[in-house]
Amino acid sequence: MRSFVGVLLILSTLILPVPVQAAGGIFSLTISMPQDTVSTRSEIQLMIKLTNATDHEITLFDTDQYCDYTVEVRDSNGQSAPETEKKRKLRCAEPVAGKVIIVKLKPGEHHEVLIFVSDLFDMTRPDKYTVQVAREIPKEMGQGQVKSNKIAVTVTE
Amino acid sequence: VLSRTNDPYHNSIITAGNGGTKPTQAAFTIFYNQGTQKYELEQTLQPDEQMWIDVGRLISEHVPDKNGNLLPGDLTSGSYEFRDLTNKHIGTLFEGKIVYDKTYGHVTYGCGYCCGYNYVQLMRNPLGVPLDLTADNAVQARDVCAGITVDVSDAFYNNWSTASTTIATVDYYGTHTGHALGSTTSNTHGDLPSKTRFCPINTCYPGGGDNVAVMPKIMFGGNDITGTTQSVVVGQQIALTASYGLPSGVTVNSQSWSVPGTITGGFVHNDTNGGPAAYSLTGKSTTFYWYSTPNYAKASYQVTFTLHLSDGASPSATTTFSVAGTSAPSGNITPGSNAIVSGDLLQYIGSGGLPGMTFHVYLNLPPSGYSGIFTWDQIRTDSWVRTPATGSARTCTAPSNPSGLSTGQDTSYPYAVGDQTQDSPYVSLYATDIETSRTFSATMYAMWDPHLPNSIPVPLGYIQWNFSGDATITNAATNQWTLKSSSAGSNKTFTPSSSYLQWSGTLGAGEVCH
Repeated sequence: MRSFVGVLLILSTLILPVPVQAAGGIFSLTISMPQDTVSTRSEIQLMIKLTNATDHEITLFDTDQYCDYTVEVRDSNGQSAPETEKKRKLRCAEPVAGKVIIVKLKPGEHHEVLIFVSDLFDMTRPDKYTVQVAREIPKEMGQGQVKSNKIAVTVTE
Repeated sequence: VLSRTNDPYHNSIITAGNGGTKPTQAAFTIFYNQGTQKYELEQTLQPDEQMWIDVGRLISEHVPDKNGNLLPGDLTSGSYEFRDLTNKHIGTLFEGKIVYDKTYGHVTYGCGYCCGYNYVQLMRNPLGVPLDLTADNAVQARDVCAGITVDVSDAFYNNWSTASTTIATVDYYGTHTGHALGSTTSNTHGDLPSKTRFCPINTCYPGGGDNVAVMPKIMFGGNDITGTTQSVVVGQQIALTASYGLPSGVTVNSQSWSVPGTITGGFVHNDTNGGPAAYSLTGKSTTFYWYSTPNYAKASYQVTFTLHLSDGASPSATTTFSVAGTSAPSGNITPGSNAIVSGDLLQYIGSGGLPGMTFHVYLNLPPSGYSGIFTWDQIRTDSWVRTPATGSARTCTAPSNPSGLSTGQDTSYPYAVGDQTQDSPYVSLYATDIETSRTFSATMYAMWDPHLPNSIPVPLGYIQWNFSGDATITNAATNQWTLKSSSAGSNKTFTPSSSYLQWSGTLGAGEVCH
């Protein structure tokens, strides 16, 4: 079975050619939350803004936000927060069929994605957590990984 | 308050001074054009300090007031007023006016007069005081100059008392606390200038009745909203709690909320369960969300909390919510078609690499004051049949949670955010097969979320779409395929709807064949 990364490489090469850029300069990631303090009973939303940092149009392919982005959550001791069952069961490798959102961005344009961090990590223990996300740069754009800013969220009783 | 009529503005200087021992904020207002327009200045005056206002200079030099207004160049008459903003009741300002008449050499002087109060009374009489809870009373009086009733409570602070402290007590500010069922009276006193000439200071003694009873209050966000109107928006969390005290020996048989309108207890969105959540209206607290309003417009709903007590009484409390709707939604789509992409993908896609299906949603007039976001979610029914060169055909579906579904939410919630989204679903084609056919149908739902703490998305409408395609292999060695047949349904229009989508499972990427 062929990997989905390979499928997307073919798509972008044949349909939507893009110039090759050095890793790290293709796009930027900025994350934010509607609240910096939430209760243990609240879901924790995270808005991810991906901005084209080049001087030309770029094209990315979104499939499932929980696979397109890697989310890291650490507690106040720097320990990774416990993963939820959804996170443990997440299967992102080798898809051969499914949803595709073609994200075409002109220079400076951005695309937003919403993730529920509390679906991935058990953050029911009151603490101050640090959240950061990352996204792989497609091979045809130079490979590598782009990391977002870090933000803090305080979970209270 | 000082007030006076002035005739020739030009060459007039109006003065006011602070005769008190503390700084005071003085407001000066000129009324002109038959009193329909005004020019306002404010200044802090130290003790014994004066403010000098040259009206002719304000006109000729086009000096703007605190609101940026200018006096007309041809202004010759009007009236003016000084107001002591710091000492509302017994002011410390004194006023004077000098008119220089260059023709005749006259200098004239005039003084102001004060404005007193009459009709001094309690704002609420009788005052209903909830048992074990508090109720505020206040003192109001009529401002003789302005002709309006104003709150003068601060002149009566620290002088409140009740006839029976067993039934109710009252604090420095006039806040009453009910201790036992029954009635009593409360009084206060304070000094106010009277309406008669020269405004002599009179001590006033307003009083009234207090009735202590079981009176529930409705709390929202920590505030007592009983008897008020609150402005909210669809999707906003409404968490209400009733607050009440009970006399000894009386218990609660039941308590309930009456909430008109279309409400939900929330919006559940996990992999195996999605849609509106249940709610309860039979407790001391309730949490719900209005998720639609008639014609998507603003609606007013009266919420009532009722107690049913063991002594047969059924006291209740009401509050009103003004709920902003989303405004009318509309939407459109741009469809694509089936195609073989790069030789070995059967994909629903637009020409030139454009998305297969693009969805847009609009609101006629989005609720103002909210940075709301559009969210999308899709319910997909999808299967494909792979026919190998040898052996039996395999029917494939997406991996699902729970397993074995061919219909479910398309990947994770939400499908996307923003006023548009798209889908270009694909199936990889294998060189070991000779034919692959796919049948796909989906409903894409558009929602709007006010993006407030703990808010939920509310439904706007949906678009149903579907297609089928059949591909056959042309070169197994290089895995090249061609499209044998393709069809797309016609029902691809946006349908406004205030019904939530619902799902009991989620389809992921990939395939499970059997």
